[in-house]
Amino acid sequence: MATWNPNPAGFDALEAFLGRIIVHEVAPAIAAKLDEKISRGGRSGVQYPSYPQGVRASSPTEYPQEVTGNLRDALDVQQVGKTTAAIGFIRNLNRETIQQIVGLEFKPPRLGGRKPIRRALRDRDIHQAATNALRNAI
Amino acid sequence: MNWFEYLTSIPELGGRVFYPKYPEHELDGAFVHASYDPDGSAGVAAVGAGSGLRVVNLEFGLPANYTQRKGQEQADPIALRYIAQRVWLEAPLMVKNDLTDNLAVLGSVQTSPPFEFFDPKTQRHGITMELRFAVFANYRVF
Repeated sequence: MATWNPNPAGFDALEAFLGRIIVHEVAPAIAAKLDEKISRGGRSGVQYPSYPQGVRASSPTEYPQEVTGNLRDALDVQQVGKTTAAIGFIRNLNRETIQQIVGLEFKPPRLGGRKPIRRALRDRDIHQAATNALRNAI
Repeated sequence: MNWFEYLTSIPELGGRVFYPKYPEHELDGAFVHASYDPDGSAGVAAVGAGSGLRVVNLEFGLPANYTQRKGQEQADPIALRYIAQRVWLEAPLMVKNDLTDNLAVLGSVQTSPPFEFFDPKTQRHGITMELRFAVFANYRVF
C-alpha cells in the first residue's frame, strides 16, 4: 500500500480552487438557468383577466409564471462553506415575497404550489447548465 | 475473475487498485486505477463499473475515451458517466501532483448531490451544493 505524505499547501490550493469554481461558475450557471425557468412566458395554465394578453398562469407541472418579479429578485447565489454554495431565494425577502415563495413551494398544486426548488433539483436543463459550467471551468 | 482481480493482475498497474473515496461508489463495486506520465500530461485510467471495464486515456487531464468489454473496444464518449451520475454531475478527470509529496492523485471534481434547504428563521430557501475532489486512485511518482 502506498504511503501518503500530505502537502497541506496543495490541499489549501485545491480547496480555494473548488471554492472559486462553485461560487463563480457552477452556482451562477444554475441560478441563471433557474431564473430563465421562472421568467415570464411559456406556460399552459389559465389565462387570468388580470394577466397581460397572451400570458398564461402555470399548470401544476410547470415552474410558476412570473407575475410580480419578486421570485426572480430573490434569486441569488452565496458561498456558505469553503467549497459549498447556496442557490435560491435568499435575498430581498420581504413579507410579501416570503409568503409567495412559501406558498409556491409548499402548498399543494391545486392551491398554487409549483415547487420551483424541488423542480430545479431534478431539472435536466439545470443539471446540464451546471455540468457545462463545471467542464468549462476546469 | 472479477474486475478487481483483473485490474490488479495488470503488471503496469502494479497491483494497486484504490477504491473511490465516496461510499456510494463502493456499493456498486466501481473502482478506478491509473497510470500516467509523471508530468500529468498523458496516461491511462481504468474504470470498472460492474458492467464493464472502461479504459480512459488521459490527455492534458481530459479523458478521450474508449470502452473495452469482453475484449472488444467500443467508442464511448461518456466513460465516466456511470460514476459521475452518483454525484449528480459528470466531470473531467484531473491528476493532482501537489497534494502529496510522493504520489500523484487521480480524481475528478464533482458536486455533491444537491440538497434542498429551508431556513425557518430567515425563510431563505434553495439548494446547497458542494464541490469536491473525489479521489479515485493514486500513483507513485518517485
